[in-house]
Amino acid sequence: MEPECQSAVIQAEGLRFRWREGEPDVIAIDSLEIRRGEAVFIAGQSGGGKTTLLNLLAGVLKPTAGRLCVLGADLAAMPNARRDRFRSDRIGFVFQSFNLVPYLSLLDNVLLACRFSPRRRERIAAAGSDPATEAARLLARLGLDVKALAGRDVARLSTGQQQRVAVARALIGRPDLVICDEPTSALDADARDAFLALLNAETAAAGATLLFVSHDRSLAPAFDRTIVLSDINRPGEAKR
Amino acid sequence: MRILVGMTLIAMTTAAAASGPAAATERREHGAHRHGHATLQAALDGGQLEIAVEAPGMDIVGFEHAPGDDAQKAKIAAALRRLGDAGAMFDLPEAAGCALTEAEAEQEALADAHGQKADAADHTAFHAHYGWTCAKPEALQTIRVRYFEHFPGIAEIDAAVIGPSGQTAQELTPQSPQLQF
Amino acid sequence: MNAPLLSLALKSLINRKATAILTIAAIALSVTLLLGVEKVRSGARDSFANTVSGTDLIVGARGGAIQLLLYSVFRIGDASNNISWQSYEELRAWPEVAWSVPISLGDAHRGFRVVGTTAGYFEHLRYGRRQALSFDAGQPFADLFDAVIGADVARELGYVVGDRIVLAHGAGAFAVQSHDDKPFTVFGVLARTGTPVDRSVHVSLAAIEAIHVDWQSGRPPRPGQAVSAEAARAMALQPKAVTAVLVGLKSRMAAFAVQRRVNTYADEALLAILPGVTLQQLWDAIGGLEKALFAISVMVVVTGFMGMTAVSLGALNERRREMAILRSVGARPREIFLLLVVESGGLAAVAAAVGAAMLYGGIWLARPFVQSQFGFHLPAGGLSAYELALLGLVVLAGCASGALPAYLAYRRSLADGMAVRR
Repeated sequence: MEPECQSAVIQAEGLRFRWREGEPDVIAIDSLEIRRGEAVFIAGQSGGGKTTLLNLLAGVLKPTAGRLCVLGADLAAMPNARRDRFRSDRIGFVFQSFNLVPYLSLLDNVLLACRFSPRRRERIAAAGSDPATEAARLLARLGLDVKALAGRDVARLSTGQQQRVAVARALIGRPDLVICDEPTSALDADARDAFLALLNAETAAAGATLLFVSHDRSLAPAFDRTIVLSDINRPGEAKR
Repeated sequence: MRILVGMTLIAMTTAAAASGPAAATERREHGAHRHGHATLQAALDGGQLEIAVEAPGMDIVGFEHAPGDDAQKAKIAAALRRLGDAGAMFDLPEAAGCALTEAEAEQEALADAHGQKADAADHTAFHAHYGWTCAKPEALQTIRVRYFEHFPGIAEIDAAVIGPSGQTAQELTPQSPQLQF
Repeated sequence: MNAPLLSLALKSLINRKATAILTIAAIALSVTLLLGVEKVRSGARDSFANTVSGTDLIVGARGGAIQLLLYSVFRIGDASNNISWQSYEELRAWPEVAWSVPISLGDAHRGFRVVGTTAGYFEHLRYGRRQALSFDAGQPFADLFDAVIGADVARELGYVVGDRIVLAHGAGAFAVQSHDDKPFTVFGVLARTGTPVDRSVHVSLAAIEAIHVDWQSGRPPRPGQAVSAEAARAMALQPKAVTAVLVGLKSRMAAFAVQRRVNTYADEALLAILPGVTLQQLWDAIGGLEKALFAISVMVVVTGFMGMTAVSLGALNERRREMAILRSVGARPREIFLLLVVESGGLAAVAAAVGAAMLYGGIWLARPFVQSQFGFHLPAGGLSAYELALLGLVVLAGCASGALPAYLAYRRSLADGMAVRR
């Protein structure tokens, strides 16, 4: 009997992943734990299994072996449909760029997260608000005026603005975990620092755990803890 | 739209031209004589039902020359007897309450291409004529024609039907031997 | 089907307006063609079936059965031969014959056929569900130079009872030899029937004789030999021949026997047809062409959908990012699949509706032309169950053609997950 998933945000043991039977592992992490409320920087080069790890944490991919607990749930044991629902309810994402659906308005892009997640809608309702108001509030906190930008094609927003919209979408409805994949690499230095400060502040305000993945180690000081992916992921070593 | 209608017109005129002579003579008594093909005429008016059938001799007895020996004569006599048995040739719906009033069959030499009756007939045909009086003609929706079962040589029957709902042409085959009124 | 998906599909389509509109236009056109073929087919069938109701036999000179049906009832084409008046008189006296209406064709009035006939025409002719002809105004012709016109003739030429009209020799709108020396008076206007009667000018058989009385072997009179209208009245105007005879029988049972008797008539080569049976033969004869037309229109619809699939496949690459975003907010791969299927199905549904609307526009535009050229009325009516089923199939085909790109997107979103590099 495997031990129950603990209350940690992320808990991995003997995690293995390979694309096909017979191919080498791309992920081989013996142990990883991230605690609730932490802001963790994961430093990784592209090609180092970074993307695959994120897809595993998001429940898009299923581990080949080992145990992976996210927010107390055993993702490996969860059926596909429930993993999708779980992701939509509990995790927010911010990507490197092109975070927005081009045919949706600024507000609809933020609300997209609520469309697929009843839990996020319930949480907003429990806080005495409604999704549109909450979206506008978050956008305002992130320095975006919904009224002024309404009717603007989202593709015409600046990269910095687009990234902030993505943060609002990730945070709406208070998910437990926010995962950012190189969200600042398309930003210039000033915008990057401002963005990091906002991201940290708002994630903390929302009570979410932050997982920030980047190849740029100069960003590390902005976070509580740094994990170097190549230190924990050793796919080249012999299997146990 | 114009093109569509135009094509329909072209089709009609071609059809008229192509099927002209054949269609013209098909309804004539001894006109088209195609082996494997029989013709049937059915009329229903009030309680009166009449059916007339013409089939090539080849399809009924297997030869069309004058009977050469006693065996062939016997074959013709047997065929005429069978054709005259209306109950064996047609299945009428019970509900219509039809009573047979007449059934007769005969064999005839056909006029040749020049319109003269050939004495040493190359082509012969069998004629059968049936009449019924029906108590409930409205129950006569379909009649099953059983010629195909008795005379496997018949592959198709071209039927002309006159009924309460008008005139129709129907094509009967062993697979769909139902005459519709 | 869930609501967020529908609204996403709608917004995505609106975002790609130009492509969507072009796709809809292409499919809508093909749908119009598909329904048009069906409408013309069923319209022609109904209209023709309505026209022959109530006549048991049609007798003409020996020739093609379908040809006889077309010229005698539908006024399409011309007779190659006439029936002698003597044969007609003999036939009319047969005991099985209840009524007979001779018709004489060959003249025209401004593009409308002139039918020489007897007063029995108005009494015995039936259309639709055995309805008799009725008069909107006036009554059957009484005088030699009276004419009774069909509803379309009256409407299109603006004629009323009492107007004077001139007939022309030969059919067609541009007949040059006119009978202007013997004008006619409109004496009656028939109510609309939806059959070729609406487009006919009816005069007595004697009138047909009268306007040709001074003609010699089909040519107009030479100067000095013309006979005036008044002089014609005094002459014996016994017709020598008629084009065809419509026959009603006392009992339907006799139809086959009378037909046989006509077809074996010794003194003249005649042909009798059962109009319903011959009409059926006509449809059988052109059934292959109908199928071919239908097949072509189906091909055009398929081409439209292949275009849509191609466009959808082409857009798939640039929509990869979008799919990844949708996955990241919790859309299931199945929902990605549905999104694309709903988009295609939605386009097809709009195209089907637009196609049906264009069909009615087309019918409205083509009706006068069809009526005048082919003598049948294109029904506007509602969509038949069959046509609705065709439209349903079009929408289904739309969903089906969305399935290929949708499946590819599904497969990709499984493989890509949320990480797509640009």
